[in-house]
Amino acid sequence: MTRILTIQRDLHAPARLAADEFRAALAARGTLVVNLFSSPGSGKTSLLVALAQHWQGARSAGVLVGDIATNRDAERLAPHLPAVQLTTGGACHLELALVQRGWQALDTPALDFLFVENVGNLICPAAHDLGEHLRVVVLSTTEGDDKPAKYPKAFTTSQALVISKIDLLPLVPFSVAAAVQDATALQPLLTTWPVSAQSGAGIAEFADYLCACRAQLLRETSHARA
Amino acid sequence: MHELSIVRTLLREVELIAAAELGDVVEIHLGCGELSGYEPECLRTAFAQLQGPGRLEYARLVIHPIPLAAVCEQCSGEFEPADFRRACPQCGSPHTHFARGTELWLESIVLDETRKATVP
Ligand SMILES: Nc1nc2c(ncn2[C@@H]2O[C@H](COP(=O)(O)OP(=O)(O)OP(=O)(O)O)[C@@H](O)[C@H]2O)c(=O)[nH]1
Ligand SMILES: [Mg+2]
Ligand SMILES: [Zn+2]
Repeated sequence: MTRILTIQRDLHAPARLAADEFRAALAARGTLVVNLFSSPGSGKTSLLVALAQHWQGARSAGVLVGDIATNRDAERLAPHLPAVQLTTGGACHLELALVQRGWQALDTPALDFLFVENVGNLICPAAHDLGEHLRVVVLSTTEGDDKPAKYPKAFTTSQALVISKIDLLPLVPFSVAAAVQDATALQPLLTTWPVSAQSGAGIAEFADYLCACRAQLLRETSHARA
Repeated sequence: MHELSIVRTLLREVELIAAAELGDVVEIHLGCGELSGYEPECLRTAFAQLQGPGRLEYARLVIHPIPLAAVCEQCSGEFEPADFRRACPQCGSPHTHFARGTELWLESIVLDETRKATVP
């Protein structure tokens, strides 16, 4: 004899709740959490170094950097920003529990910005909420301008698009306009930031955007408290 | 493949239910959102890999795809975003949110209770 048992439970719900709690806790401390993701090698670490050089300590920021193996990115970042390496041991994206542990290890409770550099992968991180306030997808000019259309989930779930390595535009067949058009067809609210970590072009503008996002978060948080 | 960890969670949940209900699991019905981050094919592979002896030994995993659905914050219309495009097709507003299709939903399980009397 068989019997149907109705359950109706979202297996994601515990993770979603934990992400919301982390988001609220960091907002209360005045920290904007930024989840940076992209294909491998699109220039995430270089972008963070360029931001640190731009701010020259005027803004406090820490980095949790995810990789499948090695501490190399944390070592690259260390001269510029406090950084903790999160090695996933094979997993293709970061999970919240790892981010929370990394944040504890960073041990800097009142940062302006907490950057989470995800594992290089344009697919899996799109569906994983790390408790971020802002999701930034990075697309480099060497990857081809067709990537927004081919990897729609990455773009439809993000708020900002950084087009990196624009110093290489004269050398590669990449149309910024075409990439932006495809990306904003998916997510019309996506703001676009063309940058070069190499030349420094666009870094100040992107840095100001991050500060504006943080200012808005602080306003919303104080409203919520009032 | 990142399906292993969520399937482990699934098996744990279903095992607890089956033990409490004193039944062997025949079917597990899972709703898989288009934007859940999980692929049905990978879920099946992970399930086959993790399925061990016990009340779930002969369980079959049945996956029902859940299409993505969004709600417009401007006109309150609901729509299925074509190719993941999130602007509202009715009024054009970019202010929309996903109402369905991001979840991995444990819908139901089918239990066989014939062993109920013999297995504690
Ligand atoms: N020409 C040029 N090269 C860049 C730029 N930014 C990064 N690169 C180079 O691109 C390569 C990858 O940069 P990373 O910063 O390591 O990229 P990433 O996204 O952090 O890489 P993973 O963490 O491995 O996914 C390095 O060789 C960088 O020097 C840029 O603006 N212009
Ligand atoms: Mg890196
Ligand atoms: Zn509308």
